[in-house]
Amino acid sequence: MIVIMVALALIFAFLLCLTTLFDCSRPMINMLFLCGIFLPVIALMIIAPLGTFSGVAGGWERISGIEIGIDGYSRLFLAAELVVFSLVGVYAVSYYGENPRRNKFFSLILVMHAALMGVFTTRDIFNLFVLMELASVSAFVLVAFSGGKGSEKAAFRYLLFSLTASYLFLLSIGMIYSQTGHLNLELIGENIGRSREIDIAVGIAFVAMILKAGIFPLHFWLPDVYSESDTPVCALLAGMTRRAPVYAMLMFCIYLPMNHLSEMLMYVGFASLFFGTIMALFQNDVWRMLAYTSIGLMGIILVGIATENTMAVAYYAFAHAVVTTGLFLTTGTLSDLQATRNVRDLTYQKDVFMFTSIVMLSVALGSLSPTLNAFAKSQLITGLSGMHLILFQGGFVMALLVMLKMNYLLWQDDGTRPYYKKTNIRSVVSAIPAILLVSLGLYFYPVLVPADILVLMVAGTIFLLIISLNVLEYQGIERIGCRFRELGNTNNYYSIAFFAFLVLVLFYAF
Amino acid sequence: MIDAQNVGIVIILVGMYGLMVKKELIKQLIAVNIISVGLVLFFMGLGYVEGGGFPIHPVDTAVDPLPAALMITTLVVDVAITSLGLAMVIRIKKEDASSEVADA
Repeated sequence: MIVIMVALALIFAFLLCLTTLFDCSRPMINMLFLCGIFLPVIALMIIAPLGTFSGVAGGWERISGIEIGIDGYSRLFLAAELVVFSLVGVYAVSYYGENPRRNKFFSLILVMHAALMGVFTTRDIFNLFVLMELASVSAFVLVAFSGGKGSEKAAFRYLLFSLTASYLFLLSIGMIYSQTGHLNLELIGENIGRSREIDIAVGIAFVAMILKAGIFPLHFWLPDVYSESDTPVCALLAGMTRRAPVYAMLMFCIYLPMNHLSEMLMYVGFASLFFGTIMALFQNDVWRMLAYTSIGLMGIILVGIATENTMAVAYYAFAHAVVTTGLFLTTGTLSDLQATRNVRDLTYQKDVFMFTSIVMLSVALGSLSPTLNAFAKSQLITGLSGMHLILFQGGFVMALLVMLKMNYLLWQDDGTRPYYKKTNIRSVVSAIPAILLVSLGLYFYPVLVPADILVLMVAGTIFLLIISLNVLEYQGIERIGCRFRELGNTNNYYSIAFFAFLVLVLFYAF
Repeated sequence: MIDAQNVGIVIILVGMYGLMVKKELIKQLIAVNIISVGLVLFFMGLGYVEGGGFPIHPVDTAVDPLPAALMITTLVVDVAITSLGLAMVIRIKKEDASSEVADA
């Protein structure tokens, strides 16, 4: 049944490719696309109540076959995947309605859908690598196809570094195989011993996944990719594509020994949290602001992995996937209508629907109760104490500060910007993540946490100070455009940073 | 000792060096391909057994076929992504040439 979920999406992707040959009508293309999105959801609803289960593809022995299954972790990641793809699927039908290349976009989205479902259900690390690459290839093409001025350059950089990271991940798989003789995660866990080779392999795998997840200091490809993509593509990249490396890190954390690496990951996580949120404060482009905030909050996931608080990481990954998707869809809807991405020119003041959605999502991003993010944060916090706890809360103060700045600027209205006078399908779809997060928050965590109030008060006080000092008048960092030769040069610098970080982590893992 | 695994790692390092110093996008893509070649050699070394025969015959000692099977899959992924990368380089070059004409 799990294989059917993946196969259904791939079958409809193939059928959509065929539509280019037969001049199919628009409703037909839309129907095929939505079938590819929603039929796996129905298949999951049938198998989800069955509880934790697994099986080996083709009926082989576990030792020689590819095991697939659903457990507590993969259930949350799969749920996030299906929620995000369902929302973005409906949004994309409206967004690409008149686009002559819509069947190509739809087909690529379905390939990514299938690959990510496979990633979250496989128990075989090589299979995980292949499926992650399949999702990445779709992402590269979707970014390159997007209409942004520098979309191809952004996609090329993404491709170059993502591919290098994938090969490093494969190298670590080879090292693990040489030490254990298995590719199945559970069998690896049962047969693994303490050795220098395993420490190095785990270190290399984590560096590769940190790059693919866009966590500081290997985030350099991410802001350009987000800001050059179409709204549905950006929502998918932010919401789901980056969850695949998070899932891989989680599986490594569960089945392989982390040893000295945990401490290093903790430092990197906190560095990412503060770097991302501070950089977000200085952005004018609303998507770059959200991209840097996302880089910051991915640091939280790394902190959770460092403390081996694995179930909390899965909850946070779910909540973060939904909130980022919601924020990119809502701000994308606003910016498409008002023909700007500059947060100083955008406004939601007259659009009550968008205003409510963005405020609710901002509350969720800051992990304030009652949202699912607050529940996930309360789970993550259990593994922290002392200075780590202060840094953790400090990071959320910074994230809230970014959200306060964004909402403050979006509230400003010079009266010239258009707004939706009637609720349309894109606004409704954009609002669903906010409703979902608050509903789940009320179900799982209907309490008001004093620490949340303190965090909000600190963020509010700092924000008032910023306003009184006129810091908001500072125009922020303008994006520096890159030319063909400059792209090559900057790739060199980023490569040096990448390999220097790799050496540092390996030195630490030793 | 010189074996396939060590040589594979040296080739991977050569590819990394290329990524760090080559400014042309096509050369950067070739550097990533060199990393891929090193990786294939590394995996071949993993499966190698001294004096081992074909794993499809009933022989006493056979080489491990799994690394070879994995590398065939990797090569498919590699070819697909490399061709995609090359297409992107061509389009980037065309776009830059047209914008330079427009600037002039």
